[in-house]
Amino acid sequence: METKKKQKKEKVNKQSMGYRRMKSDRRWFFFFISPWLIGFLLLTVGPMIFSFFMSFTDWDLLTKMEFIGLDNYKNLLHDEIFILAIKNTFKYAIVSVPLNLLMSLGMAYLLSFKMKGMRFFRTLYYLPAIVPAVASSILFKNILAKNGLLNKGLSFLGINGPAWLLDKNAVIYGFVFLAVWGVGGTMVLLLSSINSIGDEMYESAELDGASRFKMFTSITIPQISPVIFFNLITGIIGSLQTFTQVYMITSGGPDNASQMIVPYLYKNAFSFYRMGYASAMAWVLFFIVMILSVIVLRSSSAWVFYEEEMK
Amino acid sequence: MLDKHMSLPKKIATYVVLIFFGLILFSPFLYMISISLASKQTNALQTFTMIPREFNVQNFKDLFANLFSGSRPMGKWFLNTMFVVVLSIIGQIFSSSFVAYGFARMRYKHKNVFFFDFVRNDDATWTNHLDSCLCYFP
Repeated sequence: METKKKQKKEKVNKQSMGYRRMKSDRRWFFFFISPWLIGFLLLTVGPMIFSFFMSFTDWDLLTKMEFIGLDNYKNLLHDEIFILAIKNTFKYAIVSVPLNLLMSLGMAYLLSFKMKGMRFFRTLYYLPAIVPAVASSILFKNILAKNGLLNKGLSFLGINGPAWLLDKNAVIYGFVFLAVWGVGGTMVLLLSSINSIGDEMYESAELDGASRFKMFTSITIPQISPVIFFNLITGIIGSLQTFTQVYMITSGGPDNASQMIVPYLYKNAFSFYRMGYASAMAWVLFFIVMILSVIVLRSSSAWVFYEEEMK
Repeated sequence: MLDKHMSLPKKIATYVVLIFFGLILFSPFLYMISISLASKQTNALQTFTMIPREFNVQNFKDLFANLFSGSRPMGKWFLNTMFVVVLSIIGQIFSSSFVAYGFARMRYKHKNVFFFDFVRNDDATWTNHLDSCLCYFP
């Protein structure tokens, strides 16, 4: 009896506390997130507003800013190099993102087997992902050269490789090799989610006589689809924002065949000092990324499986 | 898991595939070592090989000769990097746990709006990434 009364009393107390608690919680909420919130407002939102304003001006950092309305955006439409840069960026993204996902899925699947020495292979496969982008870019400048490592490897297969960095048609695919080499970063995430799938489902599928391939497509893939989805989104955004590789290896050459959006933006801002024009490019890129993200997010309900939704 | 009843040939096939791709992924590292051991002449001609042919440790000697003076003060650069790394790790750990506590424990109607932006932030994704690495490479 006593305890029941106590519980009742506590319940009443909690209800009357609810509103006040909520109110003081709100204050504490903003207090706790303030380290991030202040950084976000000062270092992200502030510069974004400034760059949005800048995209309507003509400014070279030295002379006075001049308001020119939509001229920057109009000029972008007629800028052949910018159009080419967008095409190249998309070409790179369309090849590298699916290839990266497929490779990392296959690797993660193989590395999830419980066999001897797997830890060694996991480390080996992850190793390239921890090489800094600048270092791997310089390394791949050598590997992709006419008599570099890649062409030597291809000649074993009887393929006469092009001079990857000097050939207009091949240079984008040269970058794809660099992207695929760093596949370990994606692989680790997929591997961890494959390992976290429980045994029960596989066991019951085995009792039902499912083949290994069937188990992979009907159990493994749906279970890890949230991670695939995450990697797809970050992969798309990351490849659209490619900068280091292009800047370090070819700086856009030959004849702008490997020019991409961000390196071209950088060139306009810090070589030509056209800050307004570069800001306009940044906003065009922002909207491209935004639209693609929304499309992928919308598609997710069709193929991404969340366990909570089933309950 | 799917690997319960793997027959020996299948296991061997798995190892072969793993070693094959492992070698491909590791070959750039070998190449890097070979380039670092190359002499000035080889460097000028750009005739590097994957398996090192010459063992010219002069490059490494130069690297570690003048750590805090000269035109390449490697030691100074290293300390600069460490300065940034240590401070940012301390800052990240403090601020992340602070912010995470706010999101997890405090009740506020619109906190999901903030959370979305927080997760999109690069630092947060990087931390997630690091978490999963630490979990699977114990």
